Amino acid sequence: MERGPIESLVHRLFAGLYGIPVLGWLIPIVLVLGMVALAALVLIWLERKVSGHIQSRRGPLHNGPHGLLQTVWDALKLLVKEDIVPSSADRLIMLMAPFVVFTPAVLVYVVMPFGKGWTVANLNIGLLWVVSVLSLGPVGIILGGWGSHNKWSLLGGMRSAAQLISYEIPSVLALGAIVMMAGTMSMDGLVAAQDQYEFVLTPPGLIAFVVYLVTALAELNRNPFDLPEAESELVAGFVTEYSGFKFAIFFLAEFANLLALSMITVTVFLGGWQPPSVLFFLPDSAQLPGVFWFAIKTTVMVFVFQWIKWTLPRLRIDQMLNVCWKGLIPITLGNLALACVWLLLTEKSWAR
Amino acid sequence: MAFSLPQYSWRELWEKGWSGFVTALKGMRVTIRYFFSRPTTVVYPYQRLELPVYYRGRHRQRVDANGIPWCIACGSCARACPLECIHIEASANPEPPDTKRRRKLDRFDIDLARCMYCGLCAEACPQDCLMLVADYEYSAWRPQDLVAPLSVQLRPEPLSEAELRYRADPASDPAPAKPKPPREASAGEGGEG
Repeated sequence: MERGPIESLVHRLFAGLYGIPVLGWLIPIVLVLGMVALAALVLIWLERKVSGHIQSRRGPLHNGPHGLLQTVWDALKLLVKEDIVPSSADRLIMLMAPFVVFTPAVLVYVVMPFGKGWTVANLNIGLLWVVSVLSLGPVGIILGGWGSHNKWSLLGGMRSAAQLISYEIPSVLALGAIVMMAGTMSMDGLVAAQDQYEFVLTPPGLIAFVVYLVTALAELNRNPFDLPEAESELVAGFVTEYSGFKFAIFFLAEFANLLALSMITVTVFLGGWQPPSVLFFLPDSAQLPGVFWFAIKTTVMVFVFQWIKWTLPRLRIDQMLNVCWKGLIPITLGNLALACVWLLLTEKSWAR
Repeated sequence: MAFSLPQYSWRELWEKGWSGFVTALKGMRVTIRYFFSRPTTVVYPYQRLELPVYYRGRHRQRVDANGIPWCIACGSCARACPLECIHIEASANPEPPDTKRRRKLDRFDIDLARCMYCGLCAEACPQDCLMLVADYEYSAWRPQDLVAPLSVQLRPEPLSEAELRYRADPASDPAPAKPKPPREASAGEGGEG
């Protein structure tokens, strides 16, 4: 088949130059990055609106409809602000930190099933990828705390490390119960395993869901676990010395993480892009495409995270570690046993 | 060990954990109720509180039919002022319109930047001339611009019925400040500020 030069170049870019499908990778990367940046702006607006209304205020109002453009101007302001680096700071490490935090937040989206067949890469260890990549975030936080050469920053970074190391364990154990029930770690497989009913409707799934919500709050450094940036104790924690663009990246990463964890919760516990099983009576013609269900469920999860944040006060550091080591880990270990019993009791496991 | 953590029995541990979970849910029920309730804030430039007549804003001086304030330049207000922000200068009035106003005001400045709006000056006024009205929109860039001369204190319009009622019996109008109805509020919400 004869091709023109441009046509042949496009074909080769899709099929692969030296084995690398340039466009096949580039397009999803650009889409995901754009989505994350845009979603972060919307989520910051939502956060301010939710916090405002919970506190009987109105939140941003004046830029755009209901203040929707407020975060755009805020972001532009941050981008043109002076970037101040303390004279005794480690410039390289301080520069690296926001990007070390931001990169894993974006990498998580690689395995996210946004809709039917809408996965950038359907890894068979998808959930493991998510867990391991997300646990890279605190490295950046510690780098930022160390590089800033500031006591508050360093304390914030250290607290973050303690928090993340402890809360990774119940988080993974909670997900472990689900992996046992689904028999797969692939994110697409997890969604497919929930075609009858969501895992949250099963007893071990429900316990895992609640525990995972708590650990997700801790991993997001949000209330009631916002010790790394506890304002009244640590000024702003590891972001104390950051300003301008680097601060914006930290902020972006925080909300990218929020979105990512909401999406993971939706995928693992709430049936992903499938319509909720409680709506089984809907005719097929009334069903929305999977992406819409995924977006709706993710928005609800984001709202729940913000709702919790603006409800609960902050724990003390020893209380936080106690909750994790004495509360959540025994619960999740028991939940693993419960999942085994559940697997033995349900017919589905015999069929496999 | 520097400090020891309290030891709990299994039963206490369960009760503590469960009550923590339940109280968190209770708190979330409270916040979601607030989330869906109407905000109490007033979107100020688009929406204003209806102020009661007893609101103590800036000063006004009641005038007679000729536009001359009732003030007799007695200086009671300046003496009553705890912050000494009223400055009065007066001279003999060559043609007194009545027996009382034998002195003429040359200067009657009130430093609004210094005033704390206690209203003692209005209470001290024997002529019932000086009064504090429900006007609070007179900001300025510099504090010296907040010194109000006599010319901006004149109040030509007569007292409203509510004001008269209040002055006759200060306990008669206990109506609290209320925001305007919500419909008008939403109309102003999308406006560019």
